[in-house]
Amino acid sequence: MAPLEPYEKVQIDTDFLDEDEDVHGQVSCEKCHGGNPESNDYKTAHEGVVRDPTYPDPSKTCGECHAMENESGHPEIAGKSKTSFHMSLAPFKNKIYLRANPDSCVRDKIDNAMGTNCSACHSSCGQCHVSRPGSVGGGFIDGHLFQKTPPVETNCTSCHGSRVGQEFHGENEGIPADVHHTEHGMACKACHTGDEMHGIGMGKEPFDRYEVANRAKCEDCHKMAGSEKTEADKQGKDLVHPDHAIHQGKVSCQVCHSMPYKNC
Amino acid sequence: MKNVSKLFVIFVAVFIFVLVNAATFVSAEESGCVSCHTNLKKLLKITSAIEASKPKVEKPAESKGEG
Repeated sequence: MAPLEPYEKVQIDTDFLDEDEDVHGQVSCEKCHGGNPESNDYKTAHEGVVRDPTYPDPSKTCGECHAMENESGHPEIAGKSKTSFHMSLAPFKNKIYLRANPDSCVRDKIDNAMGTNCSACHSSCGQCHVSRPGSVGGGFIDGHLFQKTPPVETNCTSCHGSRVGQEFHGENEGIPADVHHTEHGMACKACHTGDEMHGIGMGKEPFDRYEVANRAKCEDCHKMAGSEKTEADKQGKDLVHPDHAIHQGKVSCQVCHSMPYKNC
Repeated sequence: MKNVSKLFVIFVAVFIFVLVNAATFVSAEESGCVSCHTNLKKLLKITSAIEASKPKVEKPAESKGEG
């Protein structure tokens, strides 16, 4: 992904101001970002400006419309964000705590390190739907126009790049791309739905990504041959190989079907 | 006489155009943010000045590479 020039990062496309192109452009800049729009000097104009008003709490920006389910017809999104792993990064802390020395002195150091380093790498409503994530330098995806689906290259693989994107797209020498990409042209969101990305909203926060109730599952598309299927189930090939009947419910799909991949 | 009516038609057309687009013009002009952030020349000038004023910081070796 080519880096953006500093001016490109902040240049607003005039289409953003056209209500027919993007309704978000009808909200005044300072309502979300603060600052002083009356000033002609960029230094004073930017005093108090919040670059990403959707992190850590989007309730006063996105949440004004996309809060909890209501009669406005906007989907419930911002209210769930506290349980979105892109926002909370909770699994990192959970996993590190599992392995680390329980001594309070060590825990303090971990918390300190996470606060100053790890926590800088997160995403938010704005860093998926408006700009590139801050951890890769930020900058508008398309002149501040809101993207209903975050683009794969500028957003998903800008963070999940060398250890997911390259495998999926077949960019590692000698290792073919994922069949879902080559044969079916599927992008990330085909499996990882917005519902999964936005968090569950209520109840106990999942410990890690494997506990996310609405996470991507192979079985959502690939059913056992002969089983009852809804219309949506029919998009994936049936599991006709006899080994599936033997291993069903005992072994995860990726145990047999994973490809060589990079790891930390 | 023909010229006068032509001018009148043009005037009416311009008036209607401005009336229809007034909201866009006003909102764009009202906001100092928009007038600057949509102006490539201004942005180039300001961002260049900001970049030039930033101290050069070398990235530590462990933070190089991709995620």
